[in-house]
Amino acid sequence: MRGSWSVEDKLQVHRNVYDLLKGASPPGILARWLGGIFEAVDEGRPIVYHPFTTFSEIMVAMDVQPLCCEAWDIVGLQVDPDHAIKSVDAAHEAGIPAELCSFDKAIIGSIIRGTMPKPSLVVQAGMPCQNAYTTYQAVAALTGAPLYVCDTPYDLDEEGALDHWVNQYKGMISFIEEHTGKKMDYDRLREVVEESNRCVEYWLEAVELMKSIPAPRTGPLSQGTIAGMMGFGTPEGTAAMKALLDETKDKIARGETAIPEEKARVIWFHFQVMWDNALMGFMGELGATVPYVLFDDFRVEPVDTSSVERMLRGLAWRALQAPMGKVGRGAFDVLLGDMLYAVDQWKGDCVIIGANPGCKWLTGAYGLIRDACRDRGVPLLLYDVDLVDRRITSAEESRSRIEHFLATVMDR
Amino acid sequence: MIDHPRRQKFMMDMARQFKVDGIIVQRMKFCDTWGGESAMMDWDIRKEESPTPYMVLEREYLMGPVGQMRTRVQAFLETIAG
Repeated sequence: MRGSWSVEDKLQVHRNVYDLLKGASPPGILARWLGGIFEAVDEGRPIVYHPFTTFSEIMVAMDVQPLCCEAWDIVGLQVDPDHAIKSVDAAHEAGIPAELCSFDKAIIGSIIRGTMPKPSLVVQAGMPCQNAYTTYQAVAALTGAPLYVCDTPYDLDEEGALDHWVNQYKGMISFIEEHTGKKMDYDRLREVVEESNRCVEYWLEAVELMKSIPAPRTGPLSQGTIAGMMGFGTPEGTAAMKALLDETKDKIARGETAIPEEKARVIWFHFQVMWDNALMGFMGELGATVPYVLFDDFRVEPVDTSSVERMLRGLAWRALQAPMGKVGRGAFDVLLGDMLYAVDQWKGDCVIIGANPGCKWLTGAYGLIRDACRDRGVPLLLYDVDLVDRRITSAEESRSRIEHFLATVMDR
Repeated sequence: MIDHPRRQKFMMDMARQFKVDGIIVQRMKFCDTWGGESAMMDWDIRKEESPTPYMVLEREYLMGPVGQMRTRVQAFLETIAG
């Protein structure tokens, strides 16, 4: 079974987005990414699929077009609320089990429907979870594209684990070289990494500013992760992050806050509900801000570019810290530690986890999460809401759960 | 966990060697790895010139619903025989 690739009509949703954005001066990160993809489609240049936990520096440096599959579907979802639903249904019809994560089912279904451009290669840094391992194999099976999967260590403290991981990460470069005929120019990679270092610096500073009380803004900062997915190491990615940082700084300087009166600060310890962008605003009307979203959590140092070896080692290490990649690939202590760290650092009054039904690594640890929050006296709302498919829990039901929970938090 | 093509080849080699009339892949409910794998096996079998009858038998970790499983296997065997 193969996806059908009559490109012209089936990519229309994303082409429409690109048409809306391409006129901006200077073009933003999303316009650059979509433009690059459509140019690659039209000119027959290589497109490399990768998940959101595999950042794009290597592909940018090698001048091959990265296409983060999760990002592609999230963009589609912003324009057509049924985009993901149609793809999820297509995956089910092809035999993909319903209990797989909807992010992943949407990717598989989008390929079956032909609404995602065909890749030349697929790379997967072995994160964040088993769903992703399965999905990117299915992607390779459907498209016939060669697949490279890094073997990610479960326990980094184990002797030789980091060296093994770095070698796996380097293997991604060899794989792209072998299948595209392009050679990595390490001077070019250094330029790209220095650019992504700047982007990361702005990202971390913006996330740090979200510790301000009251919060200057609410909800995910997004630009950092988006830059990581769509063009880490491009001037557009850095500019997007810098613009967000500057805006946040200006808001703080002017004494502006996300909402008039901050009654509760929420640690949102998962990705946001992708089909309900107004949810954070709704919580704001109730008096709650969300200064922390897992999507933004990236705790890294700049990559040392003083030698090729150090640069590759730094990139490989940084990849292990990708939002969700870090907490999803190994022992659950890491997730619990990061969650409580977020509560401490961003002064959370409570934790909300909109738990994707397909997220079994998270579901399996509900008890541990509850225990950890109970021990610290942190109110916790764990509720089922599919982050991609709005049919599982309606917006009304999702918001009602949150509203009742916040009422109890604010009454404390 | 990775390398589906190798597993597929192994399964089809076994099917040919033992001259089987059908293939049953059993998988645990909620196991993503075998959930995806069983779908991919289905896609590959369908590409064959004369596809071997194939069934995905989903089961739970505990052996509670034995009756239902037997019914499913029985129906599959009847399909092959027919």
